[in-house]
Amino acid sequence: MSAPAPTSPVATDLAIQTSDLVKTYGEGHAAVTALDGVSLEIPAGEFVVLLGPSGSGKTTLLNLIGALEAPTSGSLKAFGSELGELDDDGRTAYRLDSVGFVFQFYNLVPTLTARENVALMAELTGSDAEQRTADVLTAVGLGDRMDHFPSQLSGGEQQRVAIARGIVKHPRLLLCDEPTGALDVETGKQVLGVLRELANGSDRTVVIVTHNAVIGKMADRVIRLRDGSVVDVALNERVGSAEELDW
Amino acid sequence: MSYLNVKRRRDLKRRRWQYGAAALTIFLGVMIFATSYDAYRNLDLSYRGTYDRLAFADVTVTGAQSGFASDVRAIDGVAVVEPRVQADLPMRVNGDKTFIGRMVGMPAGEQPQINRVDVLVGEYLGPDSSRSALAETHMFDHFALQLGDTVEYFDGETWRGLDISGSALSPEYVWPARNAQDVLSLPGSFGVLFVDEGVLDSIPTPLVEEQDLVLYDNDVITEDIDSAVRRAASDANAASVVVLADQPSNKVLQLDVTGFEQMAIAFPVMFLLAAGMATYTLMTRLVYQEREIIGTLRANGLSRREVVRHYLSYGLWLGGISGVLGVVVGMPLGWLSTEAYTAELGIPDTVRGFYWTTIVIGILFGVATGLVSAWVPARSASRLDPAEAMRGDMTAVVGHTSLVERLFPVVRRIPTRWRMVVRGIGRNKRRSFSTVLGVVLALVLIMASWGLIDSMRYLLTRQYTEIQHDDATIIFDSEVSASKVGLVDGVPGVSRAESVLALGVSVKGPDDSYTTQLLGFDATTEMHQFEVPLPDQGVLLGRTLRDQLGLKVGDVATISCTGLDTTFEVPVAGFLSEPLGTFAYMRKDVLTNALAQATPAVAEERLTQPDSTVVMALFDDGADRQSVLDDLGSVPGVASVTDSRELFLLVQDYMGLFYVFVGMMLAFGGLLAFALIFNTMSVNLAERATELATMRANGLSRGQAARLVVWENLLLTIIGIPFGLAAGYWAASVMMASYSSDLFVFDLHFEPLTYLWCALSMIAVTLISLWPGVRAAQRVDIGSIVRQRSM
Repeated sequence: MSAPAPTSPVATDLAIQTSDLVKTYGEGHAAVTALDGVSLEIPAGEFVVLLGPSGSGKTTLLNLIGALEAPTSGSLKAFGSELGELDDDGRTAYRLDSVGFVFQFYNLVPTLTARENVALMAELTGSDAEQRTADVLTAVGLGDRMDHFPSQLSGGEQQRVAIARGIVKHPRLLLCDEPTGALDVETGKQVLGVLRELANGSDRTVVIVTHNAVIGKMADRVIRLRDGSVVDVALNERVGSAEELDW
Repeated sequence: MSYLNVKRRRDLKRRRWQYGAAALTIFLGVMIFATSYDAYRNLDLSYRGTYDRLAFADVTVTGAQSGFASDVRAIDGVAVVEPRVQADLPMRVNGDKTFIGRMVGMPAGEQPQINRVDVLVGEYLGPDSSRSALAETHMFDHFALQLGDTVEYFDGETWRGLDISGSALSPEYVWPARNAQDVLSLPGSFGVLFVDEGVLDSIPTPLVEEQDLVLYDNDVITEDIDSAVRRAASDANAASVVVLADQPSNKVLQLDVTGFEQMAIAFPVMFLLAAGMATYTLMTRLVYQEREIIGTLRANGLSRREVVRHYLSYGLWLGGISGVLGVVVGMPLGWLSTEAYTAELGIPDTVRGFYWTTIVIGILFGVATGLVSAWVPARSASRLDPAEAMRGDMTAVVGHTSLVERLFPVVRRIPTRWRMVVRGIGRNKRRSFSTVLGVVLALVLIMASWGLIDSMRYLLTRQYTEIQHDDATIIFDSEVSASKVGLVDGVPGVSRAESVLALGVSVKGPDDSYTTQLLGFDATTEMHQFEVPLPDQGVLLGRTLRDQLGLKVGDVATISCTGLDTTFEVPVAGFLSEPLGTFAYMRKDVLTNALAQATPAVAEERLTQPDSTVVMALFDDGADRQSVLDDLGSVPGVASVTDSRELFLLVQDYMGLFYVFVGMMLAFGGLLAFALIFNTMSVNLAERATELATMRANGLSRGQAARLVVWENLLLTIIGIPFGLAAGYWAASVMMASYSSDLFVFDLHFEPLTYLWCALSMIAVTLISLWPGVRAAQRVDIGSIVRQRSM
């Protein structure tokens, strides 16, 4: 059972549109339904928070949106294209062109510096990789830490490198799975601030998965999931800043 | 603790391919040990059994003066001294091909006390056997002789016939070597007839060697008695003393025994080292992955000792099972190897022993490999601080710029993904070392065998194309005059003929004496190419005599000519490095002069007799060898024609078989490298799964991810290859040195292409080893892995 999607105050083009989206793992008696008929719309350029307790299906939904997995049934469109019809190469191309990922654990390559970790992704998408790398690292506040290795950076700095890595390709969609899960409150707020900045004034859609309801205060749209279904979609009349948050 | 056993069983099952690869390597190491060690001991005992039963002489003394036998009998530990006569004579079978054979005198009616023979077909020589002979088994088989067939010999004046009364195996000719200079005698070019010693009475004295065979008591220290016998032989002016260890047949066979002995040590060491490293890498990874579990178990009361015991049990099971299987398979293979070997050589006493020591050592090898490789990870597991381990804090990999980038700053400008590949090498030094070790060990295995074949091929080519140019050696039945040399020269297909002095001699230096052949060539000879010109004074000697006789250039060597019964002294002008045999060379006119001044003097005319002078012939390029050899045999007065290049041509024909041997070693080396590379690759991928999955999530394609991993490991292989080639070269040179003696001088040689093939084979093995890991990595569930913490 999904709640109706309210109209976006920010943009009218849809970044994501799902209809009766189902994802089942396993077969027969062992089958587990992670998503059960999810229908929702995420307009382009919004800062969206997917909220829900453990097992609600929020990470599964994020993985489907990011084409890390294919849906079992239903429709999932990203920027008008049906993702369920893509083969592996198509999904890879979609991720390369349109998606940036940030995970709870930063998963940086420890043998590469901050600059190189970001450049690794930048090189996959054409020229001026060096300039774009420097730009995004500066944008996330690491302009003076670019040549440090991950082991020389704090957790928050490493997560900011991971964000820079996610956005260096200029993706239209930035998907973040519990980006503050491994960070203390202050560092977490800094990271959220960076993410919010990335969405402001651009057509980039940022989707954050979290079980921390407080983070919902800084979203344009909050989508609540429980037991694989969307139970509520809310638009914030007032979008708070990261600094205002506390948990 | 039973649930820890369940955990271990399931852990081993979960990573069954990785542990299986390590177990296979241990199994192979133990199996090769059991096979080669049993084969070594069985062969040694088989030889000894035959030698003891047939009373193989401990020493053979040639040309000693009378009184020697009684002196030697008085030496403590000497059981029997028995005289014997033998002669090397031209022979022909069924009027066909001629060759230089050997007639050995035996007492008629009863076997001798020393060097008895096994009569395999027919009967031993009866009391009235002056017209019959027993053919040594190789000769009997090669010429397909039947009882009653006739073998002719040239007694110095005329051809005489002997009826074959049987076939006999002698301990002296288990490997049918004519002498130390001709250990690779081909069956068609050499044969032995055992005849009534009375038959040799009719042969002119210079052609007959009088020998004393000495047999020791059992259980004596042979070295002490050898020395005493040598002293007595020296006092009796003996021309040569050959102890059992230097007896040509025994010496060649001992090379094989030594080969099995070396294989029983070197091969298992390499395999067990590789298996140990593979197990160590896996166990270290396991302990790292299970830090939180270990911490929790420790927090709940599991003692350090129990943690150690648990992780050691992985190694124990792995090594124990592999060791037992290795022994179970290896020992029967050892018996089969022994049987196949003794059957091939016709050794009648095949020992198939059951050695408890092989079982114990084999299993111990396996268990020790498992335990030693698991020890460090197990100990580090037991030392984990429970609180810290439970938190799951991981030791961060510390990144740094690679050495290559520091040395070559240009590398810093290559694309980031390739910089990542370069830095991946230093990321986990233990893992990188493991891959490099696999490559090095595999190359050692491959190059040791390939080096043997390349060297043999090169040395034979060198011997027969660069050094020894003659195509045939012709022995006449009477005085070798210039006109007879002319007759040979005139045969169609012969481009040149030369007479060459060929004397059986004993060369004596300060330390020892050595029996060999002294060849006298014309100064302008085209039959033999010398490293240094034939000197106008002095003698050139094979280089092994430098150490054996204690001679150096400028020293005076004493040369005793067995057949001419004379001795002269001559300065050593140089040493030659020739692959086959150890000869002495002089210029013919210098040798003739030396003999003219020897004591007693030998007249020049005496040297033209066929026991001293042979004719060597060089064929035209492209001549029909067999036709020319047949025509030479038809030249009036020719007693025998020996094809000088028969061995060379035979080896060329068999090179394909030798490469099968290389192929087997390549398979073994490949398996060894596979076990290590496959395991390190698996661990590598496990460590980096989240990194790679995160990159994949951000758009890196499967192919790009696979290339990154493959190139990192290929780079390690490429780094390992030069070390492997160097280590392989060293191992091959050590092996060659162990085979080098006065019989063969094995200077190591590798064809340039061999290095390339070895390197390419390692790259191929690496790609094969990487394939399962890359396939598995491509199938990973990105969505679930990206949520895990990098480990």
